[in-house]
Amino acid sequence: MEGAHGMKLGQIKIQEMAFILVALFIFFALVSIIYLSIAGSRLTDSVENLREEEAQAIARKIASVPELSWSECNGCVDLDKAMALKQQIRNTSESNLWELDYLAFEQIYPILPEEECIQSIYPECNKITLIKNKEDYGVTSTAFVSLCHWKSTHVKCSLGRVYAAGRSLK
Amino acid sequence: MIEKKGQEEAVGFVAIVIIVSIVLLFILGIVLRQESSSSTGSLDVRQFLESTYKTTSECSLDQSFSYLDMDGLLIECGRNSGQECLPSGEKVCDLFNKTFSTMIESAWNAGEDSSLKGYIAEIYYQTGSNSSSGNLIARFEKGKCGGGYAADEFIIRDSSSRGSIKTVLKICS
Repeated sequence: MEGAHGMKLGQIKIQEMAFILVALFIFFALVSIIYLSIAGSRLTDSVENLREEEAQAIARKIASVPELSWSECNGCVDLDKAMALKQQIRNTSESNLWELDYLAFEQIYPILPEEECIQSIYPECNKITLIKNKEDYGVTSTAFVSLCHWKSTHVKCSLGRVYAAGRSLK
Repeated sequence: MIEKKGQEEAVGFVAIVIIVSIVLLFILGIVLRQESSSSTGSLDVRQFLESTYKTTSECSLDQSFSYLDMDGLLIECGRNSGQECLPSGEKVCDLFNKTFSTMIESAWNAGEDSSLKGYIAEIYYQTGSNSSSGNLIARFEKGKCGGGYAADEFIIRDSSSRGSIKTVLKICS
């Protein structure tokens, strides 16, 4: 009788041990899954941030090329130059400029009528599209820039954005 | 006697499982809170502030109509808020506040229906020797800022007073 009782006690202890081992295994598995998912999402976020920052820096760099830059301030775009370049691109059918499929400037403030700029309405328009080689040019990189031009007696700078897409941004 | 010992062990086991679960939940809560309220020194926000302060305002302080940039307008607002702009006659600070908030609205389009839920912009005046954050001179706020955000700051030096004006902008998603 006592032997049977001892055996039952041993079985209970083995069962307890098995439960603890299973519980510990599940616990560590859960912790590992949670840790890996958090670490993975952080890694994805940081990669996306890096890509976004790199694309913005490139978009801003495009605004600093001599053909477009305003000489008196760093990172400002000369809208008069942009309009002249737009005309030149149209006349020469140059399509491989800076290896871009799309390049445009949009004025955000002061708010102007939403119209593509042509010589007859410039500067009372809010968008200059310099390059548009494809209809489907993919995702654009964008950055804030200052858009400057001469207005009779003084310089006027506005808040704008540059949009760029193409092989050099991938 | 044996049954009592078995019960005690079972209670101990349950207690360990509960304690470990609570610790796990606590750690998870801290990690997730850090995750959701994380911020980045945002290049986009910095570029916005840089370009904003280079924008020409509608304010001239003399008859020659040399219009001030937004940074010049803010400095004049800090120096003498009573000054009036030509040709509108508006006070320099009123014009700065109106223009700055319109620029944020136009650029970020924050709101309940937008992916960006709100923004907070704070402008501080710091004297040369003062290493603290400075005195708050203007604050612009819209919507909710509870989760993740992108933020950065921009400093304008006032050469005449050796002070500086710091703008901190937080765009919330």
